[in-house]
Amino acid sequence: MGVCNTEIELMNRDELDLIKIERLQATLNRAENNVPFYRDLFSKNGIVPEKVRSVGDLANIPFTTRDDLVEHQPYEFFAVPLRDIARIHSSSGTTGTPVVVGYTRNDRKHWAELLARTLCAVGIDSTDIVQVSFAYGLFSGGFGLDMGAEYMGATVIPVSVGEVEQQIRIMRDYHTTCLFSTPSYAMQIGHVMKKKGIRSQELTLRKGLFGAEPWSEDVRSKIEQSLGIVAYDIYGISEIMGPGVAGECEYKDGLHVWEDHFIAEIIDPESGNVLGPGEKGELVLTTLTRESMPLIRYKTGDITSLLDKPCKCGRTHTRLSRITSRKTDLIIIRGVNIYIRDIEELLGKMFEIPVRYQLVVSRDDQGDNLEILIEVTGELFTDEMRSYRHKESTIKHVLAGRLSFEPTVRFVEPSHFPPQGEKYPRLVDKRNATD
Amino acid sequence: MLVIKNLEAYYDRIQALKGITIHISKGEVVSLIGANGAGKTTTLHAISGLLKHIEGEILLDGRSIKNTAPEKIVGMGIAQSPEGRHVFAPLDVLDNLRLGAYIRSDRQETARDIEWIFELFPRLAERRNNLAGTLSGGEQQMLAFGRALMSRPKILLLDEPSTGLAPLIIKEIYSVIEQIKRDGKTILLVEQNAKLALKVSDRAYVLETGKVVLSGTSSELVQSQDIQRAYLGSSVDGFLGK
Repeated sequence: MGVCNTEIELMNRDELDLIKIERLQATLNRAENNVPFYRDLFSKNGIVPEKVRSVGDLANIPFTTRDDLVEHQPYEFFAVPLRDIARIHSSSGTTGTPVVVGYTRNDRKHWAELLARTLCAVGIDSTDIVQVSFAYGLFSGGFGLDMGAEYMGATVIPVSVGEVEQQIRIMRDYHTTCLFSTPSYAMQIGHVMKKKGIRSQELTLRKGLFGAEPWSEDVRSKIEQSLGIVAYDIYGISEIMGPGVAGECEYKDGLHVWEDHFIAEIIDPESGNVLGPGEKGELVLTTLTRESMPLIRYKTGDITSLLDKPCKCGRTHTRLSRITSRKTDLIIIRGVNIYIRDIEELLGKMFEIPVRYQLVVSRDDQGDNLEILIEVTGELFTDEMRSYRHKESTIKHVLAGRLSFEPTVRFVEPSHFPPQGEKYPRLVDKRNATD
Repeated sequence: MLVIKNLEAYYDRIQALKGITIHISKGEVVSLIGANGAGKTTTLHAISGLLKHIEGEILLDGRSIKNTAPEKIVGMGIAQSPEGRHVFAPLDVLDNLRLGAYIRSDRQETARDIEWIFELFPRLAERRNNLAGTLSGGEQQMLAFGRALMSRPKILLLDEPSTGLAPLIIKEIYSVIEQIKRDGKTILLVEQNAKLALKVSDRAYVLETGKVVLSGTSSELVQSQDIQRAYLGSSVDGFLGK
């Protein structure tokens, strides 16, 4: 499969490392000059940017967190005057208050080029008809991938999210060859196809690029089977750029982080210490080319590890192991740890079809409570009442064993959730609000 | 080809470079832009071995050339065309050019190269027997440039080739830079005139008070409104008035 930017993607490590330190130094100097937050952070912590002589020296600089961004909304993190900002997106707010993210014209060019690298790497080219089924709007997914696909010369169908039937109709009628969406939306599409008796052979789909939420290998094979495609993972985080920070290549063996634009570190989320290759921890990213909003050691909350062995594809850029969870996926309720994905897995087993759910954690005099909201679609309605009750009690029973208390299970109308395919918070933690 | 890592330079106690890291690959034209006193010329002088108090690394093809005598550095393939037309005033144009080839012994080749310089700068050919001191400012700049080329350098360092010259002369000099760029020469260009520099170079670094604050391809930097405001003298507010 092709390589979009041979010079950079296959660059030898020494040269790549040199470019990284060059750009890191310039980034630190610009951040100090132009962003009051960083000027204060550096002076408070005795950081002299020009003393940063290697990428390893980054470890002395404190992290930037989402809370820092929230505190400086909307524009205080911008390193350029507002008139230089060509576009504004905001983070989806899966985990709280949305934060504004700005792009200059050059930032947007880089963004498009990085996405094109990933498209090339998985064999999507200018002959493809790409259906972008990520939400268009403040969320960076839709417009970002739209831009990347156009940059690479593909035909773009900007369907955005919404009714699953419409997605399938367009896919079939317009001979879509590639689907870009969240993995859960792709599951929905696969499910509706099955229900309507549409076989994947009737479509011209061949590849898909999925991201914006953690997904497992199991989900990958389900998507591949139901849609008859090869599914690839793409990673991004709105605060840093959006989709395209890293992406898989044809070998599906980790996601290449584009190191000429980002420095990736893995840290122990508790101690903040930098971890070595192969060790699992929180991903911390530093931007190297971002004009609008340089971020230094930004804590992403995503749990992964760095794979430092060379990839078979020949790209020299390091890889992230697949991100299967976020730090915030771990909920501690009444002192017991439970991962959101464990609950998701349980729901997956209970209902044979993909269901949308939301976990609400609250606190009263008795202590913490967990409420599980499950979307009731037309399909679930036809289910027998008795089987409902049975599922409800099984969920309660299984979780009570884990949690030492019984959670509440509630079936809710689809209107509780945003349109299909859009991101929404899986967890709403109301405890801090009431504290 | 040329790698500079964490370079610091001092004039007495004043720190002119605060740890800059830059590189130039073979066949590239790279420019350093920035205001007066940003450290551009200091960087060239450090590479050429003209500064005593430097720290960091300067590597030519992986070998350190730090603390090497300037004449040895020329021998290694780095030639600098200085700012302010430092030519040998009492010598004629031909002798000035021959001096540029002092590290080479082949006289035939030297003669051939002189002809090549005369092709690049026809004005110098016309004045081949004139004393350098009698040349105009622009011609002296051309001579300094030509003399640097005479050592057949792997890397040519050009220091402010446009400073103090009339627009027509600047145009001539830059068309020569374009020409030798097409021939595949590697050039590190220092310019206060960012517009010119970005036009001719592949990449550029922006220096501010001894530090690199921005780098990128020249086409990117031309797009950057930061650069436009600070160095290109154009304002994005302009269109509002028109």
